[in-house]
Amino acid sequence: MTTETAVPSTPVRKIVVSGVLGAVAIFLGWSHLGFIPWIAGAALTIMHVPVIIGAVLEGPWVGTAIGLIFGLFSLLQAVIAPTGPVDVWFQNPVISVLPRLFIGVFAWLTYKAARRISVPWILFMAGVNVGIIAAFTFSLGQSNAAAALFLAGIGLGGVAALTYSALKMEREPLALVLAALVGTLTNTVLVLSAIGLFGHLPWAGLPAIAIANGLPEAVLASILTVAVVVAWKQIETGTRKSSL
Amino acid sequence: MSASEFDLLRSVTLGQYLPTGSVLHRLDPRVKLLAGLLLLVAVTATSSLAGLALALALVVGGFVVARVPLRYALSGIKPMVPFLALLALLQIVAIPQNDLNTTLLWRWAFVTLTVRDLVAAALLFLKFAVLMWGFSLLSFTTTTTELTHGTEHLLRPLQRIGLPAHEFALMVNIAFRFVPLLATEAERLMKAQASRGADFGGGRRLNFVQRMRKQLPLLVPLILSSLRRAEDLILAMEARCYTGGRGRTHLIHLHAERRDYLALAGILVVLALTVAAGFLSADAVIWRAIASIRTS
Repeated sequence: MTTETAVPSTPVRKIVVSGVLGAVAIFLGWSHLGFIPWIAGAALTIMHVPVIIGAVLEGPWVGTAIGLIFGLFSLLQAVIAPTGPVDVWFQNPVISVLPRLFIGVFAWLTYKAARRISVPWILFMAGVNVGIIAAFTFSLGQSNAAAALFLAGIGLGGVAALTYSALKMEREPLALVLAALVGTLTNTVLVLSAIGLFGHLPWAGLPAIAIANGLPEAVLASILTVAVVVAWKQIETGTRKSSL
Repeated sequence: MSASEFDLLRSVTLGQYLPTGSVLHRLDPRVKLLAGLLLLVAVTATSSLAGLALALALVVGGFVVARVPLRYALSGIKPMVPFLALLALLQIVAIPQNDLNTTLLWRWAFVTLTVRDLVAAALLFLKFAVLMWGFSLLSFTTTTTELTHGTEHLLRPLQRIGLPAHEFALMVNIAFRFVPLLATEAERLMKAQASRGADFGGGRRLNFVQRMRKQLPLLVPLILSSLRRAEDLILAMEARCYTGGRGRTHLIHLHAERRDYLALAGILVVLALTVAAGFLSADAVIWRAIASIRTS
């Protein structure tokens, strides 16, 4: 599979793609197509997926620009038509706009790095992740052993699945999956940190929310990103035109 | 499954333009944008019912001047009322406003209703109504082209320090123009998938895999078709030799006239009063005045 786009990225291209993918983010939020109901009244969101797609296709600046549109829109939506008590927090631009500017940059960096990752590096990263999970489990296990074991199980399973597929997969879809994971987690972690910073929620409760919301969101985002980008690049390079 | 299920465009009401050719339509878009921004700041900053009533009067006055039917403006807020009522209820239950200075009206189990709760709920309603109507007034009276030019002019100082104001304005304009297009496109896709047997309505709420499997055949083609439209737009713009903001001249030049300055000054005074009412505790003064009339 060819991976590089044939068309060079001009300023016009960057502006237009940012605007259009920004419109997708706005539309997903406005029509509520971008929200999928989840446990306890919370909703999973895929509104940030256009940011990741833009960053992967056109680079970090486009990602940041779409992130800006996404953030401004969620600020506007929280001010004009709040859809719940949580939205009142998003009337603060440090929570609603600032974290979103980094989604594109981190997704792009991950994508760039993962495209030429080698087997020893994959194994090394898996080792690092297992180490992080072990440290986390140990620190949590002193207060709540059952939860620690449960989370460690999920975490190790995830790392094992990722490592296995990383060794099996082609580089391009792998890079897309990782970019989507990192982009989503950037969103979740930074937004929750900002919420914690302003004292809306206690710090102790945040990791649980990050796992309950962030992980399924990351899975959704990676499915959608891979589906869109792979289809788009194949159209562009003309290898399998009739796939749509 | 009813036909209204495909009706996504109706939910995108903000952003409509109503050409009535009033004074407000002819006002400089920069003034209108600044007024919208000031309204946002003032309404967020104030905590006074009297101040909000003043801002509401300003917006309603704007509707009268713009010759927009009030019933049309009201219809935009109607679907939000049940939700707002729920939010107000939640506020009363979850955030007790008990202190010594307030009158207790009603008590049942852990729920207490005080005068202050009612004031908080009224504030919530008013803030929402003022902002919603203020922004719809802006979009009723200003075309997207005017808005783009206005934004660009207002952001011009930022260009001095190297921020791409022109590009930003163009990008935001493209984004807002594409939203209705995407809504039509999504409608078309939903109908196409439904005719192949897809069911977008209902389903168990918590079955998230099921929901996702329903959404993917809609979302993937939606994003792909928008990317394809972007390619068309890029081609069209490059064919017309568009090269970005540096050294670009404009067909439309914005000139602020006397009436623009007057309008801006008037809006500033009203909104300053809105904010000041919060700081001067105007509500308490008015309550006391009402109470004294009742007792005398």
